[in-house]
Amino acid sequence: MFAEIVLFFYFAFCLVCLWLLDYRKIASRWIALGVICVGLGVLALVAQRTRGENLIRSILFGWYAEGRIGFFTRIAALGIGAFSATSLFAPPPQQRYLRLLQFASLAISVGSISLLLFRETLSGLISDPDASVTSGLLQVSSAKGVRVQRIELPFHPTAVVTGASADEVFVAGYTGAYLQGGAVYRYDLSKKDSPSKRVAEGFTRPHGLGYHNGDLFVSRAGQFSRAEAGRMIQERTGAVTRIKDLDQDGVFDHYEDIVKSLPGAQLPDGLHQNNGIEIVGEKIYITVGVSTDHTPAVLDNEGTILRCNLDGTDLETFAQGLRNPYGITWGPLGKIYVTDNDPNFAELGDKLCMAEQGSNLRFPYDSVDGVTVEGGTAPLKRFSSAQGISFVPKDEKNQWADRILMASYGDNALSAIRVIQKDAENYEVQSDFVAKISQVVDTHYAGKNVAYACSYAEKALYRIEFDPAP
Amino acid sequence: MQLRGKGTLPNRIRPSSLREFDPLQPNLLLTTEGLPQEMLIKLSAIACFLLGMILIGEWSYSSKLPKVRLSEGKGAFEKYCLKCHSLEAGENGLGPSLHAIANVAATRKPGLSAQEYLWESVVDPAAFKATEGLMPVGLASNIGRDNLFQIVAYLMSASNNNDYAPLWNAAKDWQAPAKPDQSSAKWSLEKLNRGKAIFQGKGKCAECHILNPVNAADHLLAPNLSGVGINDESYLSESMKCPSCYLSRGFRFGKAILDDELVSGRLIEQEDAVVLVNRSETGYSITQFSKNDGIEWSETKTSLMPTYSEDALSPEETEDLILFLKSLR
Repeated sequence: MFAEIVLFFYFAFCLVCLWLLDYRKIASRWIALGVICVGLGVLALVAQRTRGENLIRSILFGWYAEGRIGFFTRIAALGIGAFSATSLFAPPPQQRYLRLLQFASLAISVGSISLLLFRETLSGLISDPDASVTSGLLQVSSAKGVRVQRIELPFHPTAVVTGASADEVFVAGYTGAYLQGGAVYRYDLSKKDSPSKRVAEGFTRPHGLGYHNGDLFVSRAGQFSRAEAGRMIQERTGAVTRIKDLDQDGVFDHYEDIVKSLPGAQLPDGLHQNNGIEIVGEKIYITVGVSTDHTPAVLDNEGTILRCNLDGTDLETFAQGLRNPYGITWGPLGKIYVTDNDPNFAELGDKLCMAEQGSNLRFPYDSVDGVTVEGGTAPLKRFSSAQGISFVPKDEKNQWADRILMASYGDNALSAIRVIQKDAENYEVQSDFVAKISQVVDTHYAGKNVAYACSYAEKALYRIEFDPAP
Repeated sequence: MQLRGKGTLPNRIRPSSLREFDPLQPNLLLTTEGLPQEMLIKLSAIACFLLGMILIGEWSYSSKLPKVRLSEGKGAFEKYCLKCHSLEAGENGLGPSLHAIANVAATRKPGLSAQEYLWESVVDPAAFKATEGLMPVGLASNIGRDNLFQIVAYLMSASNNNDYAPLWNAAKDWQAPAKPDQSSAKWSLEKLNRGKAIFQGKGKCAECHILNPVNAADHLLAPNLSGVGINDESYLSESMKCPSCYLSRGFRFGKAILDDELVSGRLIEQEDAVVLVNRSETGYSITQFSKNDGIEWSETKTSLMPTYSEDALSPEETEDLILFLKSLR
């Protein structure tokens, strides 16, 4: 810290010197050049000693832009610098090439800054609409043929599902602070300015929603521990609750746990729990996380996909070897697909897995560096971020038919995943950018070319309409 | 139109149309009433200086070397080192205390700074042995360069030495060697699942050991085994055959005679009292007595962990169990 303060004042001294010098004298210009060289030399020496520390940011700027914005910032800075450097000694008029350099550098600077200022406008004109969010020339709001409508929510959403029609939307989330106040809201988007309605509450951490014949299924979990025989015991608080609207007033009146005593949100990694659910026919599939970052599951039903009837009977393990699965959907080739968050210690990327009855999806053994795991099922692909998923059936009439919509929380994007079977055991996975949505946590395809997605950070529900395919 | 400074006065500064605009017209850029030439030069000089600062700052930040994060170093130290090494003065476990290690390390090997010595002692434990110990070979490969960097930085900081420059020098060219026991290793999921079943069942390991980094009081009788897989197979195998030969740091065992009855267990020595902890049917049995009570007690150096001979587990079962332990990172 002391070195930073000294440097700060040293640089301030340099700047004052540069400002006060009388540049009408050639000698002063040489002094200025010397001040610049010595100042930068000192900085380089200090930076050499503190490599890896963002010295300048901590001293002067307080921000740092990476990616394309950073790139254009540097181009702009370079252009301005070249222009300034050539202007410093005011070359005589006959040095036409220097004048040309001045103009070229000025043009680059103006162009770069314009790109930075107007990138949102320009991006729609110059970006490849089919590019994914990570490969496009600039960020775009949505792909071609995709229209996005934003609806404000009064809470942080975690899961979304549609009801009897594509316009009836149920959104679960936290209505209180610190993951508290789990509730479900209903939105009727067939009517303009239709108010939201709180239709179910009393949950802790509802992370999964399902709908079947007027009933909602809520995957929820809490944290509760007690001391017993000299140690802290973590209670099994995870459950799937079926809720019914008995009096047909739109608010759910009857709550019943069809599955309970799932591990819940246990320590040490209390953010893991039972998350997304998917109803396929008369069966419900439930994702269950482990309680640790990267150690093997030791509790019953940890790190699994469970399957049971809609009344909770015939509960069985459908697949195992998962860490903290979040999204689940029935999908291409008639299989079950699941997303699984990667261990923090390895940061290999979230998985998209295809699961079948009896699959072992290899967690945690496949996160050990340098080891090949024999047996089990390898992930289809790893993504930098993968949360909620939903299938667009093959017979839908839009460009995303037979693809999985995937919420990429960390990438702030909704993507469409295409799974192509190459041979009996190998699959190719293609990813396309659909829409830019900040911290998108879940998505649901409602049919009739309409999908929904919810943004955790923005407290927003997005209605996404796809142009019909010819 | 007034012009300050040197330069030739153009006849027309502002072109009346684009056709008349000549970008090479002398001093067009440098001579306007609102922005005189001298001001432009001043601004240019300052811009040059700031540009240089930006570029150097970018260079320093974009370095691929890790950044010092002491909290990460503390976490990595606790995960990888604390089982054998302590930071408390004089508290030796399987490995020596690392209290004020920066001061000691600086004098270990001529020509090596403290940071370089610490780095070397992990990546090549055989290069200099301060004490006869069991520093695992290949530990650095398992820890990884960035974690190792943070550990050494943390040790330096714990010794009030915040000069990290030699550490970057040690780290910058170091590449983790291929892991002979892993790079070509193929772990069978079937064997891993069998090993896990033995851990939880026949081997009875889970009765005392846990796998999670945090589980309140569950490590009272035996250390949690999170991260134990960074050790090589021979260490794991030997510690199963002779648990008392490899007591983890902080785990002492003792016995006492109370009312003519022998009580044994994990020994926790307080300033004025002695505590013996053992497992009971309902959880833990805790025996505590004052040192002034005249009770005969002693440290036994004998672990509570049973010896795993071939009678207890077959060679195949032992192999599966060790593979499972190797997977714990």
